[in-house]
Amino acid sequence: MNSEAASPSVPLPDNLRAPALTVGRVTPGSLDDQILAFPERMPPRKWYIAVACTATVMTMGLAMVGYTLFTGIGAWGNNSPVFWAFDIINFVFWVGIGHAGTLISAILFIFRKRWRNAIARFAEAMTIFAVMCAGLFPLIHVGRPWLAFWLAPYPNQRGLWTNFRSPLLWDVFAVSTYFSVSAMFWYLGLLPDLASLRDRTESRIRKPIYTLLSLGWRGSASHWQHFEKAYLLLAGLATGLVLSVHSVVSFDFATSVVPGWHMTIFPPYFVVGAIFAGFAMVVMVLIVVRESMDLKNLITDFHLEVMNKVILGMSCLMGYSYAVEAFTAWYSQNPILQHTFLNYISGTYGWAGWLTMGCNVLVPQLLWIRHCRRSYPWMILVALAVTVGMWFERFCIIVISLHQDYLPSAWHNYRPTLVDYGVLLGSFGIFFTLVLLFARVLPVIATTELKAILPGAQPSHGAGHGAVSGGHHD
Amino acid sequence: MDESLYPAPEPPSEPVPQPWRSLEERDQPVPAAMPVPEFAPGADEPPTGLSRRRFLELVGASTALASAAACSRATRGTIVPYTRRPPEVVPGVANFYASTFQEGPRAYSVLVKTREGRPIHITGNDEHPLLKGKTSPRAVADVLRLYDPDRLRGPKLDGRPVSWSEAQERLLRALVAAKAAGKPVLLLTGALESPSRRALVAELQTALPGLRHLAWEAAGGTGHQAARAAFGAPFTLVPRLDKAKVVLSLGADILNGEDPAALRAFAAQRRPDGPEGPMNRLWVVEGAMTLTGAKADHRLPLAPSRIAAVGFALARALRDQHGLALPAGVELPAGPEPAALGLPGPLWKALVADLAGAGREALVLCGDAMPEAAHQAAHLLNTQLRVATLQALPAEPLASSWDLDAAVQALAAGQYAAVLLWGVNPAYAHPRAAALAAAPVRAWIGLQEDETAAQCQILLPEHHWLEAWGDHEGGAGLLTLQQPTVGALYDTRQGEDVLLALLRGLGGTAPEDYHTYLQARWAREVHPAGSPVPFERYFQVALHDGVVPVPVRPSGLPPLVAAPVNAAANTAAAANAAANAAADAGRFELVLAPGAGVHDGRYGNNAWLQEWPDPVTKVTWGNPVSVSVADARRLGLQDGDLAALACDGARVTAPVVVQPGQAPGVLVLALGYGRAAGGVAKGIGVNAFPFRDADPGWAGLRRGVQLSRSGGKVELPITQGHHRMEGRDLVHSFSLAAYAQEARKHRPPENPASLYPDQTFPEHKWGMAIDLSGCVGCSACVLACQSENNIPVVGPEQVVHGREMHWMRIDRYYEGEPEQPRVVQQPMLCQHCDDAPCENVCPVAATNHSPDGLNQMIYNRCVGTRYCANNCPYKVRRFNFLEYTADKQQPESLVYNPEVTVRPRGVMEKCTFCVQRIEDGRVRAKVEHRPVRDGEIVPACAAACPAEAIVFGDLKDPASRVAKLAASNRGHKVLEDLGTRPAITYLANLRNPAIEEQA
Amino acid sequence: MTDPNAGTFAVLGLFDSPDALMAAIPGVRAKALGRLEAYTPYPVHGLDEALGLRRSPLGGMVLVMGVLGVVAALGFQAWLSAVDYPLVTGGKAPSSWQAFVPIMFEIMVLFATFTAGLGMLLLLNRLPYFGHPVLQSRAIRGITRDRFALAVEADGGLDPAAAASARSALEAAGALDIEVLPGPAAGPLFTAEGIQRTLAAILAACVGAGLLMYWAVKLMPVLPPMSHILEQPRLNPQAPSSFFRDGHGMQLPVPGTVARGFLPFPARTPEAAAGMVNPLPVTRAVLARGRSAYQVRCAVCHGALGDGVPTLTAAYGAKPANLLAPANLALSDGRIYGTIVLGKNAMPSYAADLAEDDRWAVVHYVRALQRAQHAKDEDLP
Repeated sequence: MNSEAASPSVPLPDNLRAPALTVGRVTPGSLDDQILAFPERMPPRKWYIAVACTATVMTMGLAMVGYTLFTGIGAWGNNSPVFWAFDIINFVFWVGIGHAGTLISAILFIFRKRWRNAIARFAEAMTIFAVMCAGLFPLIHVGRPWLAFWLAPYPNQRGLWTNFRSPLLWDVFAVSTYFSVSAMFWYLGLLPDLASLRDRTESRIRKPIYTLLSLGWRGSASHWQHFEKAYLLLAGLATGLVLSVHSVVSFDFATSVVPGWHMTIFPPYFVVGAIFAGFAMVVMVLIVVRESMDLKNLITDFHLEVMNKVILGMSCLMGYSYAVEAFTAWYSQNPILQHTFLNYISGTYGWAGWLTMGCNVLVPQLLWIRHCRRSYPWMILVALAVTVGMWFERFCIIVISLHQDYLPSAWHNYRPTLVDYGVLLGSFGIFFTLVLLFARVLPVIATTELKAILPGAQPSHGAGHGAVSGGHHD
Repeated sequence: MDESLYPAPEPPSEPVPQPWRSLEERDQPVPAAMPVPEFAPGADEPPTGLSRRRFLELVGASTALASAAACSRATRGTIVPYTRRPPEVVPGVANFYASTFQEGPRAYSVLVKTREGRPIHITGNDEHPLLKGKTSPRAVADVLRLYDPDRLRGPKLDGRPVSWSEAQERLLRALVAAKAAGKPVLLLTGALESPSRRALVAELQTALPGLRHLAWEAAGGTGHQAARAAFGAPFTLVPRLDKAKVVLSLGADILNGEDPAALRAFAAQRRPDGPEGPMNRLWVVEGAMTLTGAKADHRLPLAPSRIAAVGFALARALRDQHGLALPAGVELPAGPEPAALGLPGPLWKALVADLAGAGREALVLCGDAMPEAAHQAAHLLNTQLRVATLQALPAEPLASSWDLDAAVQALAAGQYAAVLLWGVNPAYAHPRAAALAAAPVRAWIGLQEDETAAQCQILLPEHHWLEAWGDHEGGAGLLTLQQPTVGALYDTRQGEDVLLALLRGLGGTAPEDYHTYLQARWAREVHPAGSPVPFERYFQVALHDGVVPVPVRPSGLPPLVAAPVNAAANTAAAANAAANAAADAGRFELVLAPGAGVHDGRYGNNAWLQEWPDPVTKVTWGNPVSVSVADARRLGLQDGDLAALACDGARVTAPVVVQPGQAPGVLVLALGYGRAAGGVAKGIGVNAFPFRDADPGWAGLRRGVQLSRSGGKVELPITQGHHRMEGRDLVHSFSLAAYAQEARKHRPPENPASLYPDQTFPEHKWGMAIDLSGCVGCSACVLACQSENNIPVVGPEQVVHGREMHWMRIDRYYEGEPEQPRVVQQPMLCQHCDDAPCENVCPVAATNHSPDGLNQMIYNRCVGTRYCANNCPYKVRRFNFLEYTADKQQPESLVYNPEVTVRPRGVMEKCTFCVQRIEDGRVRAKVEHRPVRDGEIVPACAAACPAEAIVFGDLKDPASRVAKLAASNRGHKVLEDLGTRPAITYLANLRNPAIEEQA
Repeated sequence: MTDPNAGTFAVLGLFDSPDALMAAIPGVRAKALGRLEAYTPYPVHGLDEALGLRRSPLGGMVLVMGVLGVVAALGFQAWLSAVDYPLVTGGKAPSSWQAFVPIMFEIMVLFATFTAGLGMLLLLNRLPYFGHPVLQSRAIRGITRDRFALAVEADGGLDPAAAASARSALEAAGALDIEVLPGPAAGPLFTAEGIQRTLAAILAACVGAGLLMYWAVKLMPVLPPMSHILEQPRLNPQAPSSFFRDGHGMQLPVPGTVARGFLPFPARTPEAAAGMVNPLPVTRAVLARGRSAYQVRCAVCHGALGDGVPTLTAAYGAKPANLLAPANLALSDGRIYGTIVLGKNAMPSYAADLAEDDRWAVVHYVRALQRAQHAKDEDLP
């Protein structure tokens, strides 16, 4: 990468220069003053209003959850044969959202995409919150939630164990692993920033907290050496994990016999979808954060554009997956499978199928246009479309496949209840409430990682690697 | 639990300890003089083996869910044992009592399964020569009515609870006064087929000369009058389908399970061993779509009012083309020709030839709801063919609607001093019964306070039949006995006891209770004179078997009286003309058949029967109007659209259900719904009785009905919303002609390649074979399963949601064009797949495979992820979406089978192959040190199936019936290519068309 | 809080850019005054080589733990599914390993990541550690912000000479500010080891408590097992019932009714039953059955020998019949059977306690007893 740095004497034409990752003059000090100041200031009124709204939605959702726990799953629209509906749709949806963060922090780190540093922290936080929302659903969707802990293989006096052949159990392991690994990843990244907070704060309350949280980090060279190594290893492992988790989630469907679920393309298809939806969500949130917290100098148009490019790429892959599904249905010559696919686009819920494809494949094509990749209204439009589309994709996969499967005698339509909608909304409430809280109490941008790539951050004629463009003093 | 299920020989016990009175004695060495038990023969050896008593204890302990008994929780709470245990009752072990269930003129000899002295399940009486252990679905379900909390629990006088003496006293005074004043008293009852009951009423009539008795059946059709007219006296005609080769049904629904003997005999004729038959042929001419029509080899949809004309046209054709002479005195006027009746020519020719060819082995049957003329036509045809397939039994006269109208008018005119209603509900079921209120004294004997009770002053609550004594005429020259299987739950008496009390009060001599009366009469009349067996023993044996033969043997067909037949021929022609006119005027014919579940409304409060899917429409909880496909298309009606029915005066608004195969211009509305009383029945469906024609000749069919859509739409609580197979290979069905080549094509199921070694089943491999050729879809199995396995009722809203809980459902598919579809039935239950998809996906292994091939469901381990149900290709798993059972209190909960866990909310459940019966059978075999006998273990559905289409057994035993059937060249498995390896084999449905059927 | 008489732990010089830092290192390093350590706000590339730090061993640790995770997961699942809790689901053999792969992968990642993260913190970096002198220094505010520090350290404390030359070396290297750090403050909470030991102790305590709980519940079942479905709305045998008037859940059959297989005993008196013949053959099995039934029901009064010498009831002065008495020898099978069913004098009916076949088996056994006591030579085999 940017080899031009090796010999500053030969200037490159601008179009070949890597785009600047920051706007205006940013020094490590100014960075701290800009980012680490947020936790020290009282939030503005609009923040309180926002939290009030999201918290209300969250409470309403939790009330609905409580009602469900009290009455039973009958409170929802689930029926026979549609035994799974909103519950699992939401689960898959949120797990998907939770993929962007680790992807950005892990895979892009391995590919040395330095633009990730500005957005990684926020994306990781969103990952954790999304997985929390996702984790809620497997717990409340079971018929006897007070026994949900039976899904864990723990030694008990009844000598019972779990069934390790059940994809649902794989889920338990995959999602919990994913959550704990993401959390650790996030925390390690936070550590130096917490140390900075510790050393700049005067407050008698915050100081001990930050001291405790930063574990006495002192930034010694040997520590950094191990730290970087660990970070690299974590990134590598998390890459495998992020690919595996949604694959495992897709096994819930792929390993079953339900027509429309029993598909070999599901694992990659699900992973792509997850990244797709996750990036869309990150874009939406980043836009808000960037505007409201005035981070334009750190999260530049370039960042947004790159992410939109990723979204565009994923959208094309989604289109490909849909095409493969269609092809499989036709090529299999299996009337039942063909019926299911036709159901996606022409059945009782055909509209959902078209909505999915429209939102996931057609609308994102706008991003071919550079203007759309850089203007808020368009990218917000796309991001919303993708979020809606990905939710309905899971609706198609789950509800449409189930409501007409093998025996026509058992076919039955599905209609969600108000409780279903309430719980769905509530999960969004939970998510955004957590995001808002995070934005005020922790550094929203990985200052340390950003410092490391600022101009002049690395020794100019040090060992060859890692030198950044424009490494001259001023 | 296992220990108690499979008792191991006990370890050697300590020698019998010596009793001692004092320490000295204890310490003393035992005196040699005294025989020492240790050395006594046998005493020094441990008791070995297992006595039956011990076994019974064990079965008791285990089958009453020993897991519960073994758990520390269960040890809390109190135990209330018998103070003196009756010899026949062992706690935890079921007893069986032969008894009789009566419904109108029909009596069903049944076997009542009781636990600790209370009935929990009903099956047919295996000692009955014709029923062979089969019975009607409603008999199975009626055990629920015993525990109905809505039952009247004590006598009432003018609405206030009183003592029996007071209530009877009041009634008696009225009767005595009437006797003195010489004023008549009206006694209105249901059909009295019970000889002792008849005798009792007769005695009462001698004691009270003014007593006018009417035996009236609310849903009774035209058959009775027709037979009375045609043969000069009331007769019950018993079809012998076992003898019939060709059966023609003129709107007769013979296969709906109401006549299990007929169904059994018919089904036996539908299961040929091979392509060469033999197999009977069923022709059906009908307006509505019935189970019989669904099973027909040829079905001719036709407006019922034209069916008589068809019958007479047939008679003419038989006479003209095959020289079958008409009976003396019968001459037929020229009537409409088959073409004019809209019957396809070739089919008609085939029908005529078929009947003529079958001759004495032919059988023509006419439906009770058909016009009287149609019955005359049927009688004529049977006489003309000299059929040997009908038996006539002298019957008791039934009141027609005209008789009842006359009586009601007399009541209104104040001619009667009092009216006593017993087990009838005219206020609901007779449109013109309002005048009942005119009688000064109105007494009512019945089970639940119904619409009629609301109009009476004296309410005398009656025993349920499971609490009462009685005898019945079981048909075909048999007497069956009815014995109580539980003491009276409430302060009730059986109706006969009331009559006896009145008899005594009116100066007659009568024993205290009906039990004594019954025995006395049997000693007099039934006990064969000079038999070596003393009567007491004779009666005990009769009770034990439940059925005894009587001298009266059924005769063949009595001679036909010409006049009514000739009259009917003219009526038929006129009716056909009228039908043409009505069709042009866009008027409909409304078929008023008794509801499949609720019959004439008497079972309206039985939730099992309310939620029992109508075998034809699959609708639960209500009676929508069936409309033919053509009419629905014409009027733009769809399932659930509300439509208004009107016919001079009568008017209802009901949802519509579009019924394939129903003749154009015909509507069907089930009787027995729209009750105004009863916690369950109230407000379910609409009351169709107001549409009943006053003319008894046309009872059950109302002409000139207008149908108009009244806007609005409701969601029908229907358990099967999709009726086509979508070209999937689910049910095999072919004609007898095609059997040979199908058999050649047939391949035994081969198992797809697998990553894993095959399972091995050390001892047994339970499996089932279902012969679709025998199955007519009567759905008796559904109710038997519900009763045996404590399956909850969820109510109409939940059924609309698609959350019905029946472990067993009858999938019914239509093939061909909707106007005239071909129908196949397929009982669908857990297939107990060897490679069950449901088992893999359960995260807690709550469903897994037993070593004897059962796909077992552990309720208490289930957390309710519902993944298994998603992954079940047959969708036979049921989930407790809400709490359906825990709120059940006694008496309702008394009907629960103690051997089966009642499932709470959040738990998955499904068919278990009646594992409790399997275990019971295994334990019995083990205790008797013998292998399980084939056919010893029978699940509830197989036991109930009147067609004997369901066979259960051990697939590992090649000699077992099920193994043989599973290897049949008609056998196939559903969704075999999924590699689930189901344990259930379906035998292909066979049809026997006379000519190559239209596709 | 810097303790004066604690020796000098380090001399620390501040620089304002990585280049300055890198430039300073060679000179100071050449003097070899003590351990050279740099403190930077973010990882500065090339620093480790410049300071001559050893490569981090983390990779190896992670690899080992990852492999361990795979093996552990496979072993765990295989043992549970095939050995400890073998169930057949979906026709798969309990030991079918194919389905274990996903969890093996997840556990591998879990072990590896936690090794990487915690190993780095706890083992390699010896964190948490709140007592390090740098944390108490003036410089730390700059270090975690935008300053770069180079320190000459010695755990035992620098001798003043070394300290002085270090200071001069740093000045020579152009340090903006120079700070002398005293040794680490005392107190267990301020040593990494102390903190880590505490954490380990807490962890061990949790594990111990868990195991204790497990065995306690297993060995002395104070808690009933999960039994939500145990409370059944159905009426179990011998349960009381508030519905029936007598409070009994178990009801008596209605007098006069006859249950299948339970025809009432025809005779009214034992004499009337005299004519009945014993349907059972005399076989070893039947006799064994008769013996067990006799010992359960009869021996208590009639004595194990049937000689009327009771094993128990003599205490109550009962005078049971001596079955070996000549009068009783003459009784017919049916007569004895009748007595069993109907009872005689003080003896109640045993109809309820002995099933049909048991009664007849008992009759055979009584015959055997009688014959055994009056054995003749020809009885000997």
